[in-house]
Amino acid sequence: MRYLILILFLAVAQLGAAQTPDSVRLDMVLAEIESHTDYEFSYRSEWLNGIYVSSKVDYSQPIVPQLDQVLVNTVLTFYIMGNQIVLLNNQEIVTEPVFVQSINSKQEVVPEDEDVVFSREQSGQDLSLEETLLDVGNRKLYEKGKRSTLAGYVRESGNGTPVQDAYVYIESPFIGTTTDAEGFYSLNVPNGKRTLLIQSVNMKNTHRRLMMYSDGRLDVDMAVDVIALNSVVVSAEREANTKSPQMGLTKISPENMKIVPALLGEKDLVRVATTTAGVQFLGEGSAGINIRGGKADQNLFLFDGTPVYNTNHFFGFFSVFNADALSGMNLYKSAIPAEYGGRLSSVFDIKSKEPNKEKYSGSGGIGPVTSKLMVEGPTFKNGPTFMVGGRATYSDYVLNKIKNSPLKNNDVSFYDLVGKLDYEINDKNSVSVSGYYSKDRFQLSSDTLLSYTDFSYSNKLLTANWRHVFNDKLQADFQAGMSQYDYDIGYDVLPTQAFRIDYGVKENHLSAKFDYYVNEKLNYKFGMQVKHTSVTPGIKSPTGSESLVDKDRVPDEQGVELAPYASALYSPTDKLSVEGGVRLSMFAVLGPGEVNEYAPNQPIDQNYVIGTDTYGKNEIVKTYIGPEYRLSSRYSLTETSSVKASYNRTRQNIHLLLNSSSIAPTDMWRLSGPYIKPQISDQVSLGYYRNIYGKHALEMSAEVYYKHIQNLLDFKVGADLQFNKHIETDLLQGTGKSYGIELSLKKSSGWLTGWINYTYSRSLIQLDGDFPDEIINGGEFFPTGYDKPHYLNSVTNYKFTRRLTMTVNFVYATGVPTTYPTGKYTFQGSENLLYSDRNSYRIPDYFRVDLGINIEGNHKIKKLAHSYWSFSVYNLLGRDNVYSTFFRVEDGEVKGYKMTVFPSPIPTITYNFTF
Amino acid sequence: MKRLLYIALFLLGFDACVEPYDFEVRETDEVMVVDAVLTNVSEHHTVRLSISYALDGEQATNVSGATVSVEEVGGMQYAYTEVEAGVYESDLEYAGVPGHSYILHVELNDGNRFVSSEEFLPSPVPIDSIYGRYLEQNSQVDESQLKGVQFMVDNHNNSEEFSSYRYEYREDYEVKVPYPSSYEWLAAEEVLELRETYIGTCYRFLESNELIAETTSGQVENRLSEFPIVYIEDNEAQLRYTFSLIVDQFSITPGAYQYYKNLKENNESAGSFFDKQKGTVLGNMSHVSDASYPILGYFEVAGVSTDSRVFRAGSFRDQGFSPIQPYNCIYDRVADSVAVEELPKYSGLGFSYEVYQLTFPSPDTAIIITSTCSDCRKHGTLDKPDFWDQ
Repeated sequence: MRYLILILFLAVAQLGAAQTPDSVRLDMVLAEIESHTDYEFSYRSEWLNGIYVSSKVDYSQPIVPQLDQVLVNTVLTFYIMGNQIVLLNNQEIVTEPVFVQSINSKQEVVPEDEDVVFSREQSGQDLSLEETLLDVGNRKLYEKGKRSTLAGYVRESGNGTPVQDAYVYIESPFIGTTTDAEGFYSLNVPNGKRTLLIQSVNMKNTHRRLMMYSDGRLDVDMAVDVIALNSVVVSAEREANTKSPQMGLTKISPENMKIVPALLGEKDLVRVATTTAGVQFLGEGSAGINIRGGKADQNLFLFDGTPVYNTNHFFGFFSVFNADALSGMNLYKSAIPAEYGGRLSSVFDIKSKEPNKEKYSGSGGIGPVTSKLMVEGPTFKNGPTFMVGGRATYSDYVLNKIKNSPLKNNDVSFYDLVGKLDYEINDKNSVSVSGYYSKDRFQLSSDTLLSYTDFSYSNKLLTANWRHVFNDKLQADFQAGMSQYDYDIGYDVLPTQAFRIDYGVKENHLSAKFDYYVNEKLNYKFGMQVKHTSVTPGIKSPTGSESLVDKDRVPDEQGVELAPYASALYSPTDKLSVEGGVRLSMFAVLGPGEVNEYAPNQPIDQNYVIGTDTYGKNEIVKTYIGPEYRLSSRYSLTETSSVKASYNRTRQNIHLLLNSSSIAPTDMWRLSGPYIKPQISDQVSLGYYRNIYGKHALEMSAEVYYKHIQNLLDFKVGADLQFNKHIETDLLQGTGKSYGIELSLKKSSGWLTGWINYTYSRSLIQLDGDFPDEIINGGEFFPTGYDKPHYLNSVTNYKFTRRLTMTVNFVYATGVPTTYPTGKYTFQGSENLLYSDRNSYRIPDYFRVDLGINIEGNHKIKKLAHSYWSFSVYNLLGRDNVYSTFFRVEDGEVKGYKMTVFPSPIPTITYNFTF
Repeated sequence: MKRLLYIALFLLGFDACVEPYDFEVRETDEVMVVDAVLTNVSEHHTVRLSISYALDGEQATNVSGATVSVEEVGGMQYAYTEVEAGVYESDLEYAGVPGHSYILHVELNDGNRFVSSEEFLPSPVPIDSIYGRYLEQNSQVDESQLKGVQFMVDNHNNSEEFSSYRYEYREDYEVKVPYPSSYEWLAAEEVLELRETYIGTCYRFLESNELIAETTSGQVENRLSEFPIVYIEDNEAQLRYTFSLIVDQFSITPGAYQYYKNLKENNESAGSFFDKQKGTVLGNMSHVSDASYPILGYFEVAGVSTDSRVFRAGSFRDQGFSPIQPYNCIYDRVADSVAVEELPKYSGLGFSYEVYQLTFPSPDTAIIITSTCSDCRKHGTLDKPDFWDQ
């Protein structure tokens, strides 16, 4: 009976769609509406070809309800924005997720009594994949009224890239989920005939008609929505704001990179991260990023799982990562998952791009300072796929073009290379190998201030990963990785003092990470990481025949860390989700080594050495063992709001010796040892998240946090960190605390998108030792050099047309603390400065506005190469933000100076292309 | 590092700028400063006590009424007496002995007592040679190229593994005026008198006002070679005529070297991206009972050796150095002629103006020249350094 009604209905509908004598061409109807009202229509003319509609429009009545009537028998839908009516061809614009609609609708969802379909229903040929009824499971196991598990992967068609955060759901009864980082989803679906809908940002919405018999797998390929780049689509990721138990996670995708105006035309993932809540950077030219009051060395930068020790080219003007070769980045600020460890404040998990499996393609960019190219593709049919990318600066070339300049003998350059091989052996096994190399080189004709004249540094990374799927529930990643960071500095102004110093840190790790999916409610992750780190703190050698410098070295350091971890994600109900885990950090400092013993109750000073302990090769010098607890939870208050709470402890056994607030390339990483205790951080955070759906979807969040750090590293005044054999004599370790609130508002749909964040945060340290030079500021808590209480940042993106977008970026921050001279004194005929308490003054506040405009070429899919121009103006208002203030005694007088890095607006043009 | 920054920005095509910065401080801490040196030279040694003062202040306040003494460890106690405000001099002429250790004691009249750590007196090391060499170098202030003579010292010390030094120097040099006055105008008697003393050549000196310290720690051999003491540019006055350099070389302890190094870094901030953390540098003095009581300065105990060398005008001409002469004494601009009988009416004569010559053959007109171009005593003194003629 039901079928009969359906057929009748369809027949009537067909009749209605047929051309009748009183119908007119749709385009003429629309033109008439435009002439009678303020509305304007946007559409593609080919959509309207041959479409006739009833022309009865009563202009005395509101137009919109009548428009429904006009279009009722066509495949067209419409979407209204102000006076503009956008027609869509067989595509529904959803301004609120379906599940919200289903909640809002009063209609009672009556479980339908579906029957098993008969094969004749499928007899029609030439059905598209979307229209084909797909069998899932084993027909013999079919039990009416029962539910079965449907699981599978959502991938991008063409290159097989997993589509993360795709929204997968059935409408009635409403059951939905989002895909994980691998594109995996799992749903518990009532047996019978169902329609599965899949939506994702920048992908064409798709659906599958299913016949659920029993548990089964369904993989879905989604096509990139070329027309709808950044278009009005429902962002499934929005769900993560309120639904995921994870707190303090920021995802940066290549799309974000395109939006945020770039400095000097260089898209920069790390720079984009600083436009999000709670991520602060000190200013132009500063390499360090401070997260929630953490020090710059407390961020773990992972490239495909392997740490990167120096993430900057050119003093932080550029990050070392070539944006074209990346698929995105996850930044964890709190509730760091148990699988990560080694740094206190954050994890920047950066992934290289998955190579295109189908064809050769690539992208590139030509900018004023650098150019880059990335190529990817398959090697042979069903064989490995590859991706290689490179980036270089032309500065060498520029310098050599300048004649008669004091700079002419100087030489500055950098480049980086990235490569990846990916091989999906079969359903169960895939392997990938990725490598990275970066090099910076500076050669200066003289520099007495720096006391060295040339230096270069390089990063080398190699990672191999094997992913094995044991079964539907259990999969694992086995990884081996190597990371090496080296630099050398040289000095040759005074021939008798000419020397070079070589520094290096090398890390090898092996890890096994298991992911055990029990069911929708329970998911375990566990594994183990073994890491060996060795540091060559300095080898000093004479250069040139006249040098009097003695060859010398600071003894090497090595350490092994073993870190097993386990965590469980448990969601007993839809409302509650808890993830708990623990990571056990077991660190051993290994010999060979000599450790000075200092007299008790005396300062740690060369004058109080009472003995030296000698350790043999690989002998354990010192061990530090401690658990790191990770806990996060989410409780949904309503369908669109939730509260989350988290606690995490992290430990850090490798420390960057930083004596200024900014990272210098010549800063050294040193391991924990007998006198450098591991830094330990405890963070609790609490957040409230709410999404508002309506015509415009808004995501809001508020997070508060409190962090307590043990053994935060600092140094005595005037400490010399370079080539220091007894670093413990200059070292101070104290208690740190930081706290703050982060408020964030994000709009991710519509023509106007963007986000605005306000952060209030404090970062304090207490250095209260037993001796005068170990007590700073009377032993009280005082602001760290990166304490910026107020930080306001926003990115606003406006899309004029599909091809023309404009972005405005805005940053305001309290000036960082600094130490002023407050007096002077005479000593041996010279005037000397008496300084205030450490960090008791502040430099002026920082404020900057950037503008970016992207102009894209047309979006024809068949076009050989797609391209876009980026125009950007950095520091649009030309405000001279003070980077630092400093003071000098000149002829007995104290002079204050301020340094501004970019006092005027910096316009750049970059041409980017993909092919 | 600042140069590096400039290069970076230059490459990028933009100018970073360094501008004067007006800053206000809330308050100035008043902390006592000990400035004391004891050497192996037999003399009245001095200890200066002062108080730090505001940045725009003119002069330090002296600390009077303190009781000061130096104790030789296991030996004598040398008492000091205040000879002028804040300056305490040893009652006896005495010399520190290399290898011995000394402690400075200071007690203020408010009862606060301070003591230095035990300071060992290093042996003096002779200076092997003082010499100069023409050198062009980049300016630290702007992008110009400087031309000048770098004066350097060499030394060696085979008896110790390494040595640390502090240097002081004194530059003595001739100053000449182009039109030395031959007649003196005696205003009271209104008489013109032929001068007995030639006032065309005077002598002037400059003393180092910077901290110069170096160590040979970390070198294969314990010697300093081509260690730069002072750089004199071609537009400075010292090398126009005869010049001499006296160098005092203080052999200091490693602790003192570290103190000077820190002090210097604190005073000479370059404003780079990577400036070190600033703070007040603590020396070797401390309060006897309150470790957190602030006190500045250092009690330096040093073995001193002195050497000097005279350089005649044109010593560096072979290397390409030629001093720039000033253009402020152009005859047509600074000369005037007045009838001798009109001289009493000539205002400023004898102060701002001097009689250079009388006209020849009939001496009825006096040629008058601005005194800065006719009287060298406007620039220096007539006392010639006594070691110049040896």
